[in-house]
Amino acid sequence: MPSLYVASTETFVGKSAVCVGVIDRARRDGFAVGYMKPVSVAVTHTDATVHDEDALFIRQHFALPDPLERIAPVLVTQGVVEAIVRGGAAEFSRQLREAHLALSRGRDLMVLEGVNSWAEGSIVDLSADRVSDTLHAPVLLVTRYQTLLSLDAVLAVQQYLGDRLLGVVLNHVEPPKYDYVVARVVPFLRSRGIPVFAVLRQDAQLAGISVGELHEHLGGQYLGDAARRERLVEHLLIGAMGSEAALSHFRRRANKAVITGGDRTDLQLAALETSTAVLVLTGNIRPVSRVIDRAEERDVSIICVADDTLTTVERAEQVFGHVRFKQSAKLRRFVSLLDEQFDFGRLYQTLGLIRA
Amino acid sequence: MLDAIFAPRAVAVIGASPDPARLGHRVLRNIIDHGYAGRILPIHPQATTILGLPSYPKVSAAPGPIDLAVVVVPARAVLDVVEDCGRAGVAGLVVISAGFKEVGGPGRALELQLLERVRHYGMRMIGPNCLGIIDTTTRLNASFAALMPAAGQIAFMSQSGALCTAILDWSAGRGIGFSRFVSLGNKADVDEVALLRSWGADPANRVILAYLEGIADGPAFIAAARDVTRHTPVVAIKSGTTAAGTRAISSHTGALAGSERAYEAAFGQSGVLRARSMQELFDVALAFAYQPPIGGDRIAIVTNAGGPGIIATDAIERSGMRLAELGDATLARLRAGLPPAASCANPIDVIGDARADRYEVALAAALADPAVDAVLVLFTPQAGSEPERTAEVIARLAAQHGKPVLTSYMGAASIGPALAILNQRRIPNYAFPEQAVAALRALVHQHAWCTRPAGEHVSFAVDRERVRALFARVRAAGRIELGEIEAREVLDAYGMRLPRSELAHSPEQAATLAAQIGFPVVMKISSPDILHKSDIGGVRVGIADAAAARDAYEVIEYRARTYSRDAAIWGVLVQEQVRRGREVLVGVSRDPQFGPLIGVGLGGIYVEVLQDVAFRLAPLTREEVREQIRSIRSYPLLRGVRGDPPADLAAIEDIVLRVAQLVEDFPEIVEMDINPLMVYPNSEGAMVVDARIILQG
Repeated sequence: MPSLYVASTETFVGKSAVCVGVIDRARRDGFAVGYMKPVSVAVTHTDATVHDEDALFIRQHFALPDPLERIAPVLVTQGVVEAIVRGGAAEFSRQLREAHLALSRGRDLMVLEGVNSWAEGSIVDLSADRVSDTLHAPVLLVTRYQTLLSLDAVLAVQQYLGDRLLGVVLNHVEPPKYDYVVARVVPFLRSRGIPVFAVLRQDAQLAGISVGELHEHLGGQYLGDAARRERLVEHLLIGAMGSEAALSHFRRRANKAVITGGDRTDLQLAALETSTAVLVLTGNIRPVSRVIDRAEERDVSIICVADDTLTTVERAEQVFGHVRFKQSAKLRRFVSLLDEQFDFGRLYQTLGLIRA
Repeated sequence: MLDAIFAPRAVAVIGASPDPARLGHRVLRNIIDHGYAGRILPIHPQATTILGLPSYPKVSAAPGPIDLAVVVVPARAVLDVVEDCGRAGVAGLVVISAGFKEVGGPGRALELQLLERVRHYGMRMIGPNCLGIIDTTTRLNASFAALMPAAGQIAFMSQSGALCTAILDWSAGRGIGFSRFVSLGNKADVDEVALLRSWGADPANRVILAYLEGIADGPAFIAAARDVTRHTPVVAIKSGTTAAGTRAISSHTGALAGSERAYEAAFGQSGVLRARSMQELFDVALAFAYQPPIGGDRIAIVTNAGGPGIIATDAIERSGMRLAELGDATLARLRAGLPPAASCANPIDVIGDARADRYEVALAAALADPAVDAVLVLFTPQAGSEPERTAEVIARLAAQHGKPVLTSYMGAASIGPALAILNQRRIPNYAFPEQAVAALRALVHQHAWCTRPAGEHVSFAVDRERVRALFARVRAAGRIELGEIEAREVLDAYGMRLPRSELAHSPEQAATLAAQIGFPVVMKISSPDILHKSDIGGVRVGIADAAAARDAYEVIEYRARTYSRDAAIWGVLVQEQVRRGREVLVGVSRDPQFGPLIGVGLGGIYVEVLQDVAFRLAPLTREEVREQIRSIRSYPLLRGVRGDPPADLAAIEDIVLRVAQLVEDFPEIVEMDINPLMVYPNSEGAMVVDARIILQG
């Protein structure tokens, strides 16, 4: 029974998404697929539990019968780290192998979601390198392609792993560079013995966050139809200019959140003339009633926050582009993108999977 | 048009009240008191008579036909009474009641329902939330204003009700009359466009004035104004022109304020005269209302004092008019009739001790001179002056010639009766000469507008399908901004000349492309997030060989990344290096009220520092474009200074017209810039070096 270790060298490159996409497709192709997150570094604490958010989500999404403690068996909590620093032993390797063994039973393929960097997990002696070795899982590296220099990371990983590097997914490729990447970069990597399983274009919809998520993060009062909370915000724009310049400024981006002062009626109305997903109004100032009317006409919700504009922008930027992958619309889009772009035939072949 | 509102045979006042404290009482009293000759029907649920007139519980219960209903009931009751009016065949409504769109939320919904009822029954409506209307030709005062203005030939519309009451009060003191006086309120149905068309068709209005805060349908306004201004002058004052003013307008009206540039262009292109102050609005209005149209821009001045004569002369020169050169016959008449100390050349100085007879000699001679188009008479009170007799003389002579005569009686205490005579005899008088000159200039402007030749609309053969297909591709990719290569394709499809260019994604590719294009080349960053490419070092020129192209690629991409880590970088554009010419910019921004606003200016510092850009609204005629280019302050640089050959102006016109056609063909283009357009001398054409296009999101 083969395992596939999905790895990355930095955060937010689309690792979870690739896991979901691969599981989804492999299941449709008739395979029994399991999922595991061998090492969890970023853990979520609730009153009742400590758990891995991504693992929880994927377990629910695919209705996996396995217990969460098995899907995410190693939680590197603050307490664990402190114990190790104080001289305690870090013996998770067995725990990990046992969980993996249990999950593998009756499955054709195990998809393992890696940590965020090559270093993470080292403190418990379970770095990506180590885990993929221990569990005999070849590595699919997901990387953000920006410039040719992005290839450094791919080549470095190859040096570490040698044959264990199955191949790469080049994600977040800016559309104008797509042809170039396909024509030049893919052959180059192949010549170095690194197959490219997919080249995925950057996609504003996938990078966006929902209006609801933005509201949850910023807090404040939400004005408008709750159904619009699902709407995706693809960009953030700040309204702090003169009225004359506002329209041209706001027109540069579609499906955006516009952050501006609650008293800037002129900018609010200008933003509503353009493609705006949500108005975030700062300074604890409620907009005039006609702005609310206009927003309703244009099907745009308003979030009123108490913070000033600068603070709100900083806070909004924290969530932006750093969102986990939990909306059904986004999932569907990514799965269909992967369906089109990902070389599943090659994956199955390399892993020795044979479709019934 | 709108006769049911301004010339009704019968008026119902819904909400008429026996209680003098109520607005409905005031409105009914105004209709009764000011001489309206038609039938008046108070509508009140219980009363049987109000102010001596039989009252009815509702319009449908009153004897018809009723043309106009004035509605003064609380907002929540308005729908029912309007429904009743519709059923009873009422054709016009003036809804004074407030509590609609201006309060937002449910008020807005109520207004939409009201409008739906009005449209359903084919009625026309002024308001809601207005002061009412006054028509002195039918003596109908259907308003709650405290005054009835004198009859006159000035039609006035206002988006501010309070301003209306203030002006009524002020004009009563000045003896200024109106033909029609309307507070537009929320203009749910009848707006400035409908009033303009209606009033423009009636010779009782010699001039139309408008106080505007915003115009909802810009193109309709321009079309209506173009039709009307050909025969009737329209003078508008538009508030909210400064940054702070614009913000105030937005807060006040809840509507996005149109761009000041768009308003300026709209007024200019439709012949609407723009007043900068309330003072100027009425100064100009009086000249149009009282005096005949002017035939040219040659002005004669008759004065009894040197100083004011020079002030007036300066003002005339400054405002682009000419001081008339008096003919020999006129000079002879003046020499014969005036004392030796008088100055017979223009300005004609009849000197300080002049009585009415000397003014008569000078004014008669000036008016008779075919080289004089209008006369400005200045009067300062001095020992021996005869203000009233002089006023009589002026009025008599002015009436004999078909030329405008304006006066500036300077002073106040001693000239009151003379001012009354002037006003009564329809001579516009101004406290100071500059005001009179501003009014004269408006007359000249109107003359020029009426006599200018009709423009030529040009249409080029273009490849519209190619652009349509390209826009579809961009949208399918989920984008709204076109990449450089795509923007170039659009311009190429619209027949503009462009240098060869290709997008490179690596140093090696840049070197290859540069070799194909031919050295030297220009290289520049291609990124939607970097607007000022050269400011960040994102442009390199004069790249002479492959090694330099590779280096340039790396440096440019490095600088772009340093400038913004998150910027989307599409690549580096490798472009044929074109020879230098004069750099011009052509920009388009779609104004929400008026449509595509096209700006033309000289590139570089002229645009960035001096903001020297002239704006016009598409569609454009060749004449309008020609005039637009000539109105740039730095135009002399295009025409050629210090021995430079002139730039190919026809090529610029051509590009602007093609751009205008493009944005008319594709309303989804909301922003567009051609910067720079390299313009070559004489007839060597122009080349688009860089362009960006943004589509409606």
